[in-house]
Amino acid sequence: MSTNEILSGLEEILRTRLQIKLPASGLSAGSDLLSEIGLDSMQLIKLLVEIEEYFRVELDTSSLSSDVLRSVAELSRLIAAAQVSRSPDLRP
Amino acid sequence: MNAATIVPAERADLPQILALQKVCFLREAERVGDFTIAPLVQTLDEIAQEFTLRLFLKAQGSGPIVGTVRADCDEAGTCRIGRLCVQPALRGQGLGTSLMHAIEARFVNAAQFEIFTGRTSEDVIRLYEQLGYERVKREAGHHEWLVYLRKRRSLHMSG
Repeated sequence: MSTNEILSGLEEILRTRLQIKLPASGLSAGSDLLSEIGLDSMQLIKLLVEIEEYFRVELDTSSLSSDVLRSVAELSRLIAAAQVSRSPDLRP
Repeated sequence: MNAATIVPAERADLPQILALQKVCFLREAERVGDFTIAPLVQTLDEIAQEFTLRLFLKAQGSGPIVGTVRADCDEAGTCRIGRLCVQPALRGQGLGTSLMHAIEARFVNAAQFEIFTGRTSEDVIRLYEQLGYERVKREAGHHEWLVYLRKRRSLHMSG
């Protein structure tokens, strides 16, 4: 999955599942989910849950803090890495 | 029995979660002699409203939901965990501990976790203390003193 596909997936989750109003220009890798997009801490947690469901991945966030996860670039990297490591045979 | 996996609950799970909550808190109600405690009288509408504000996890094998816990966090980084429930027949097998680990792991932005219970719920307090929680304050509840416990989040916390 390309970076652009991940970005548009993130946009869709934010718009439709979390009902966040995004800027007209949409998300970019440089977007900050907290200061620019306006997520609060609870919405960030829910976003991570929705990402796992939408992209069918398991994110390893145990060693990460919100300082990292608020960055769309870092989040996209994490999703891409989780997709690579996932074995499709192991999931229903 | 198949091992239960712990995953985020969906809206459609709420009736089952509410039913489990009422089963679990019945003993609490008996202990304090009040069957109008909040977990027992919560309605489906109310839990649906709560669902929009908090994260709910469920433990489920191939059958019904056997455990649940929920939490939210504020902008100061305090994550408040509540309503830890394990089906009575399955207690003492570590499911409560697994639910606590799982909800803590979800709150990547938490600086600390807070939970409370009745002072006389000694088994519950012991569970939280084993998980690294420390008693920080007591507050008067409707029926008994409530004990608040807190733990700081450390990175690389085991999930």
